[in-house]
Amino acid sequence: MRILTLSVALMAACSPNRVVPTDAAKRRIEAPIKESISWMAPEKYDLSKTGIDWHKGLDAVRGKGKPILLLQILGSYDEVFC
Amino acid sequence: MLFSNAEVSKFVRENFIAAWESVRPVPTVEIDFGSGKKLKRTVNGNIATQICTPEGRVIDIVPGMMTAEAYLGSLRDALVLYRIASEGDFESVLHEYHEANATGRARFVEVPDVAKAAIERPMKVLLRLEETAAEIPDASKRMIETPIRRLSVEEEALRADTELNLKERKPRIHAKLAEKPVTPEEITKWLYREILHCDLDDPYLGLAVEAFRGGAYGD
Repeated sequence: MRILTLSVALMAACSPNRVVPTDAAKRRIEAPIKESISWMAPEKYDLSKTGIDWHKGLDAVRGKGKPILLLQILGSYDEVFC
Repeated sequence: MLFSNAEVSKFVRENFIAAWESVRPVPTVEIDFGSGKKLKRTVNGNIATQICTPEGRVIDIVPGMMTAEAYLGSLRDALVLYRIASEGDFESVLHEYHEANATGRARFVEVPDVAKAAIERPMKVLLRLEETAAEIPDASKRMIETPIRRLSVEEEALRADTELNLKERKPRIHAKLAEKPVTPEEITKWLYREILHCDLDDPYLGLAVEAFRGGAYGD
């Protein structure tokens, strides 16, 4: 069985259709990048399209008599990825 | 997008005054394919929603992304909490609510129609302490446990985020809010660092190890 397995491996290595593995380090670096771009891009959304009147910053809405919903994001008003 | 959901948008418009703030610029990754085509992605971004009194005191916090149904449930709970607390000892009600929810023992029970109750009779604190494991809101629980159709990969990811945010992150937020009254300015850095794992004071937002594995830092 071992001889058969070795022979099969040698045949695969010599085959013109064999898959040549790329450099392991390169694969390690590129794999997470490939995985991340395989996901559909989250919709880059502009808060002005939500129908909600958004004010910039907490100070703009303090003391107006209504409870406040403060949305905290990384990035800007017209670039919300959610 | 969460705020484009009709129900969420309507609820926010009718019950809150909405504000946004950017806690820092979002890191992005851009891949130039060399053919004129480029692909841009954000990395390590996250949102947080802080529900506050009109004066800017934090009532409750909704961490991260979740399904529209779960998000709406969280906003409703926060609004009810605000209105109940406003009828009594505000500090005590908030403290009791957050302390109980830090251990998952409390939930609102038979919350009456808020507008109607506000007109007809004084509201009472409706907290029932239950000696049960932490529960997430029924609607969200149903959504997570009994899908009625096969979900897309993105929907599965959002459901997983919802469960994480409600089951693991919320109790820790409740524990923090039970300590003392805070404003968003006082709690935001803690929130992003300890709960959302996004240290706003770290110039690499925790990505330095992954970004520079095997190499030197950029500066």
